[in-house]
Amino acid sequence: MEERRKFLKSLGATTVGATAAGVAGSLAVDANGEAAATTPAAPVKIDPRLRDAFPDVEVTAHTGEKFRFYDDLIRDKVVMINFMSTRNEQGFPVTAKMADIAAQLGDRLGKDVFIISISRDPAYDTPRRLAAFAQKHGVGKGWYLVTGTYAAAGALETRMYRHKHESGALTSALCTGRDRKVDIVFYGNGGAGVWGTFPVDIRPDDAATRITWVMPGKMPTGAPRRAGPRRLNAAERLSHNRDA
Amino acid sequence: MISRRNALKVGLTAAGTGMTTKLANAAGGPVPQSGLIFPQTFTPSIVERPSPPATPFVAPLNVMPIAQPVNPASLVPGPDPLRHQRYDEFLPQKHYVQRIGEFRWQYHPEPPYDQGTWSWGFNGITPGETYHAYYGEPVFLRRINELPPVGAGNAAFPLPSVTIHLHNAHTASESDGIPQDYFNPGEFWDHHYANFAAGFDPREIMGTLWYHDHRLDFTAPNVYAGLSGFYLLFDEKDSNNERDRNPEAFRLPSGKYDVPLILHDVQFDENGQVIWDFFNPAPDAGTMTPTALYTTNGMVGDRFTVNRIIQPHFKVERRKYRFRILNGGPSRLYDLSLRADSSRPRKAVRKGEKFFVISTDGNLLEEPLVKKRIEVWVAQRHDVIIDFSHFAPGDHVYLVNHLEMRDDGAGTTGRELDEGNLVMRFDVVESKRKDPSRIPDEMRELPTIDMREVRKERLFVFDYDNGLWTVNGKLMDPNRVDAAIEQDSAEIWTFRNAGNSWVHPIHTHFEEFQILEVNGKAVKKGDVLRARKDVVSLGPNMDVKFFGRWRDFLGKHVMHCHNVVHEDHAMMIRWDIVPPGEGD
Ligand SMILES: [Cu+2]
Repeated sequence: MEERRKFLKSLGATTVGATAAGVAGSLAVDANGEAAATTPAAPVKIDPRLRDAFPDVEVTAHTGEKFRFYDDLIRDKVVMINFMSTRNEQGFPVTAKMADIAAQLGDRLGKDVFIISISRDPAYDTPRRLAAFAQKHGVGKGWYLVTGTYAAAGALETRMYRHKHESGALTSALCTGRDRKVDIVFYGNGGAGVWGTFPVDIRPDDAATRITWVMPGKMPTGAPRRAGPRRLNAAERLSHNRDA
Repeated sequence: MISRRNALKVGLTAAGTGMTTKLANAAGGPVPQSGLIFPQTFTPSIVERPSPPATPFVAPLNVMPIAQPVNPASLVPGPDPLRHQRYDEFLPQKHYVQRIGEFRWQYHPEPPYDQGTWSWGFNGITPGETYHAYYGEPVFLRRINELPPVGAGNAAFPLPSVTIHLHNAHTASESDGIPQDYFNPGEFWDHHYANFAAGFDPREIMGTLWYHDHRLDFTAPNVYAGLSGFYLLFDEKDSNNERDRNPEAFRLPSGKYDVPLILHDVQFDENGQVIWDFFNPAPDAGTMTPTALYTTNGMVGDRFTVNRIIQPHFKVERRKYRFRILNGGPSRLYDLSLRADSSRPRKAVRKGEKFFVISTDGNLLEEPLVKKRIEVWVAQRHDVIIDFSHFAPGDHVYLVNHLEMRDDGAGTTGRELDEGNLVMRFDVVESKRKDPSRIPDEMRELPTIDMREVRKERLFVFDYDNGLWTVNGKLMDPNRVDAAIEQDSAEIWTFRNAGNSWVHPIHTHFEEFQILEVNGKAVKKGDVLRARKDVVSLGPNMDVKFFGRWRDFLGKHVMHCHNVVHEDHAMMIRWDIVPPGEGD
């Protein structure tokens, strides 16, 4: 506690938007998420009132295209976001699972919904390596494997779901996600500002259904329609009681 | 109980913020940080961006109206008996409709709150109407989703697709409001509440239930947006009549003297709109600069609301009241006491500064317990009787939250009531009539625990992994049955918290259980845990073992952490009641 207080004092003020990634000491980032070998770290700006608090860092896709993470990939889009690493696919086959979900989505992928897979091992996962990896997993239209700096990856990962700061101190285990046993897919609608998560190991058809939950809906007309419960049937084994 | 006390200490981050928790400050400024679920290294954003000020005790308490039945002929299409287990056996005698929609709700009369806060609720209000239901009088309730679709509403963070769970009701799966049973804008769902005691055992009769959203992946934002309310059950003993001539009746304070209080802590932006704020600055013990980030820890607001009013006042007569105190979450925990500003001698006043706890988790105890403090974790309920006849007209009595004294070496000074957050204020006035209500000596006997009924013992380990919340190492999957329980069997479950800093209020649906042991020690008489429970307060490194029965219906249910942010990320299991012989 004492240590922290001193630390805060040394900062002068703990401005809300101020943030950091690249806190491992050797890496720092500027507002564009570019890494530089300086100490101490300059923060990646995350303003919680803007862009659904996504850091608008620059990332490079397996296609070689460069994107602003929020402006180009999130704003006004329905997306699924996950973290991966090519070196850890064997240990935690998250990309294979995303490929199953992509297959369920069919041609809605790239039209109604996009997948963004962020490498948490950006130094190793160069765009070239990601391209080869993408080919192996049949990554097609509407799915981007992206890489950038440690800082950018760390800022994104921190934004999504980590409350601890391992993402700042990128050890090799964390880069590759070697110790990972559970994980989530972050999904939402950048236009509406609604965000949720689902565990990555749910059934692909379930995952493909969940992404429809955050798609823009139509204002209903006419009399309300019954959603359930459906008629009882002891033989069926569905996971819910809704009308089919 | 040692570990439990430590658990509560975990929340005392105020030390790092330079904030005081003295009464005066608590009343006017932002709420101090006691009672949080965060570890000490974590500074939630309520410290960084407090809600706009709101003068405490200006707004009167909102007392929700009692739900009124509708003519069943007005339901089009009508109820379909083939969709509900045991419908013909428990034919609905009262029918209700709830329209779930978006509206502006005034949390406080001062600007910016006076403009109204975009909220979600039932029939135009939040919390929704209070239901008065009776054992032997089954209820049919149609809920219609009239929320604007995704992207069309004013409250952006919740999902306009809902499922409404009736918390601790003995209800068939299809009417329970499980996370998977959602209905979207323009759709409705029919709920059949049979209102009978589990196993037809009168000792299983319950009293204070509540309903709230339980949407898969979105429970936390949806409840936070306003989707909660009370459902009270009465019977011939707890008869909703303090003048009841039936000698069996408890004659608890009733009518306008029976007041449900739901506590939600909410955070607002500069326009008085609710913030769903996962983006908490989180400096970490000097190793890095502060960072704005999404957390899965929990959502904590800096405005205490009671029945969705910021720090209200409530005029009370000098007599007994029954308050049904519910922590509606999303994540904050409370330790509540009473403190009076009174002109009367301190000794006399002290007699009034206590709770007669008559029920926990909504179920009347064997006998009332007199407590100075009550700990209320998320989703837990305490029915308490407060006797205001100990105070004088003009006195103010505060409901104070203070989780734990700071462990700063000063020890207990007897001045601990000076600390805390003022949740609401009772303003005492003279009573015109004699108080006919009673505090009974004895209430409901506990159901017998018969170990010969036990078919299976299960262990559930709750932990943190990779920023997520696990049960037995896994996250929620509605297509996976984590426990197949045979109907009419009993089981012994152990909840184990493998984490050393996190606390989890763990709730299991459908039927109440009785705690056998906490950390290997039996629950003693006089402990509020000696009760029929549906939420376990699971502190760090804690083991809680209980006995439960699963009767009367078949189907899918869930058990989960009721820190609803943990639930959404995804500390929940599905369990099924299956026919005998088909269990796991
Ligand atoms: Cu929890």
